[in-house]
Amino acid sequence: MRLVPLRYTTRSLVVRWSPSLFSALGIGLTVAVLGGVLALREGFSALLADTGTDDVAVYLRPGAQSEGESLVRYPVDTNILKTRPEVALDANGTPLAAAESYLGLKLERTNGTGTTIVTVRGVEIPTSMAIQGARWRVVEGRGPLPGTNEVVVGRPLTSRIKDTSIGSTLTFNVTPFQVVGIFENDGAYASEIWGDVDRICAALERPFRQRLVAKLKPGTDVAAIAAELESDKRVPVKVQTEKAYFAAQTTALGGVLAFLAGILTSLMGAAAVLGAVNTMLAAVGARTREVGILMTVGYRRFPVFFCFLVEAAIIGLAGGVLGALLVLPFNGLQTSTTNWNTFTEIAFAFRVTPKIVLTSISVALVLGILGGTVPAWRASRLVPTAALRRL
Amino acid sequence: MSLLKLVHRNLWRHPVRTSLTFAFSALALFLFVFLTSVVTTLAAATKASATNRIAVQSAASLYVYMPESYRAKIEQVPGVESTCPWVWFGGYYQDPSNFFAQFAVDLATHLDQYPEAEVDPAQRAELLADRQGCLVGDELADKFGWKVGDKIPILSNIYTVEGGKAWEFTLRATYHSRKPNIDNKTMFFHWDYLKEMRKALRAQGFEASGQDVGVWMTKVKDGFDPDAVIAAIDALFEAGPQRTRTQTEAAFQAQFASMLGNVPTFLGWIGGAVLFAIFFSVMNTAGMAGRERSRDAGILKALGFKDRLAGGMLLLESMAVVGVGGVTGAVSAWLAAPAFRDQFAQFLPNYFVGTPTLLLGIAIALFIGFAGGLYPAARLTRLRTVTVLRQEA
Repeated sequence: MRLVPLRYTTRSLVVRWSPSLFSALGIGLTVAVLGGVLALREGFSALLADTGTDDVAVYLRPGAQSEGESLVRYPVDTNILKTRPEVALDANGTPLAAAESYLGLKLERTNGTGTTIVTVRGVEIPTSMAIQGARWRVVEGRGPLPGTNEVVVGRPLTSRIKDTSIGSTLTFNVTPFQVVGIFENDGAYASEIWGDVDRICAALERPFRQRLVAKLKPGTDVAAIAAELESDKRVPVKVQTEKAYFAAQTTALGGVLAFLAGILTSLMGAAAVLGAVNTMLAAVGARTREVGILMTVGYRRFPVFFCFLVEAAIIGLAGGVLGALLVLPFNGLQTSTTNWNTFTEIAFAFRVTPKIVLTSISVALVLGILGGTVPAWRASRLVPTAALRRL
Repeated sequence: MSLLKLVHRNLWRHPVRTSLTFAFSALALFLFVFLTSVVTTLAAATKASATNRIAVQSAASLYVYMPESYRAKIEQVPGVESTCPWVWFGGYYQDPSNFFAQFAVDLATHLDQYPEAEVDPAQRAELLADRQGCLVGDELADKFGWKVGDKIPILSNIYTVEGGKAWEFTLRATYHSRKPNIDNKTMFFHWDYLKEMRKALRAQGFEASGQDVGVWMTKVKDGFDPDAVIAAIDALFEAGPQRTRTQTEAAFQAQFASMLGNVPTFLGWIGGAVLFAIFFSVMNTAGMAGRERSRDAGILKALGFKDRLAGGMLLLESMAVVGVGGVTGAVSAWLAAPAFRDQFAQFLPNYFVGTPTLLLGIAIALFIGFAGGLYPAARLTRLRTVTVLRQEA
């Protein structure tokens, strides 16, 4: 069985360039929207889900969904928790555990659009930094000294928040704090301000802490400890690995993005299939005589069906490439949104990964083929004599 | 045969194509109306805010509370009619996924400050008389099937009871708000009851004293300038213990909408992309119909009808299909609003499709039908009769 030459298909696409282009554009816009929403979600989950490690544990108040609503009594509970057997010790035998405070403070944006909420973390210097290890590093200026009103600012904040350059002063309630350095973090702490926990809690009149964070001894079974401490009589706490804690935070926005992505892409996808079916049907309709001629010169039903299907697939593929090209410029675009668990602002970037590009193009291809199946089948069912007689 | 009948006949010349275009337009307009409504809902709470209400918050943070003693001080500021404490309770009913907002407020003052939230007078009296009584929005009561008199257990992540027990409230009244600045999915209960809960927690060392109230919702007397009252209140607490930042109710609402960051902008882009996609498709379809219609147009012209007639009919056809499809889509989006409102409970408890959005959607559908058909129609008008009739015969 001889197939219709591919050249017939490609030349027909070129000759009928305007309907072909419009169909490709329709499919392209659809997958561009799909790709854009996926890139947004990818960027967001990369921010939180891939961060944190399994060898650091976070202790929160039972029931707390985030640090924002957690509360650990200080120093009663924090002292007990620091001596837990699973906590690793440093070279001097001191536990690698820190009681930290967490508060979303209203700070002014640099662009004059009012205030936004930024995380200010009170940390134990140098234990908190030691727990984070190489993932947290001061890149400009120096780190804050213990017992002073000094803070370091995460790099992404410096361009967005007023008074965050080295040497400037930030006022927390009525107490001034000096910015002495800029830090970088590969994960969720990147957009925070860090300073001495005692000084920050004094300035904000908060006599307790939000979490205890500790480096775990190798081979610790976190699930077993969690079960044990959940019902502890003295200090009931909720224990998670740092990784599990951040993964749980993504669900707050991830849920809405997933819902939006789902409804947007299913509806737009359906619309694109309709559009593609429409175009291909018209293409078949306009070429009824051509199909008649193809059949008269000896092509069977399957080659005719296949030829029109290939045409639709090429349109889909072109649309996919077009859509991917539309989405690519968004890669790396910075945006910010709110962690609804803590009401703090988090900055993240669109991430157009190779996987997203491939997904977009494959979806476009599938849309094209879906749209082409019915018309191609219809073309293959034509009766040659009747087709030739028709206009 | 009237010309309209000819348009109608032409429409059904390709029933599949017409149905597809119809369905396509309906889907696109459904999406457009949905996306636009998300954006307008975000702005609606701000727009509906009263100009005589101002909100006093800590200048430092949403999580830093102000002492109860601020109440008397705020009430002494000239121009203040009343002030009402609001405290976020952070609880849930049965399961954390059943999210809705609960606030402890001074209910008598609260109801006076918000006349737009309507409450039955008999229920109001019972609510004020019961210390554990609560007031819930009618939509919330419907969602969980609560009736007046029901006991409602609420677990709080912030005010935890030893052993993880729930706080018990008795539903005494429901409200229905006529404006989007208060949604119908919130629960309000007595601030005095919260104070009682806090006593035990504070005795155990949870919660600091002086951290009492999140927001003082303050009503300004008629004839006073809210901005002057705002300045006077903030000046009063300039030296602490907690500095305040007072805003109009509109600005207060806007700070929550602004937390979505650029999301509304992205939704706008997506909405635009949807419209572009449908425009291309309509133009495509009309173009195909136009090419097929060349001979018809020639015949009409040969019969002595005006040049513009065939093109005009094509335009009408395009507007009719896209218009009817668009109306269907827009109205479906409007009908689907309550279902979406449930999906969005945490983020947009107020989600609604406004009449202006609905009309805009319909107008855009008609415009796209018109604009998409314009070029093919013009081509049909310009065709030379003789050439067309000679072709393909």
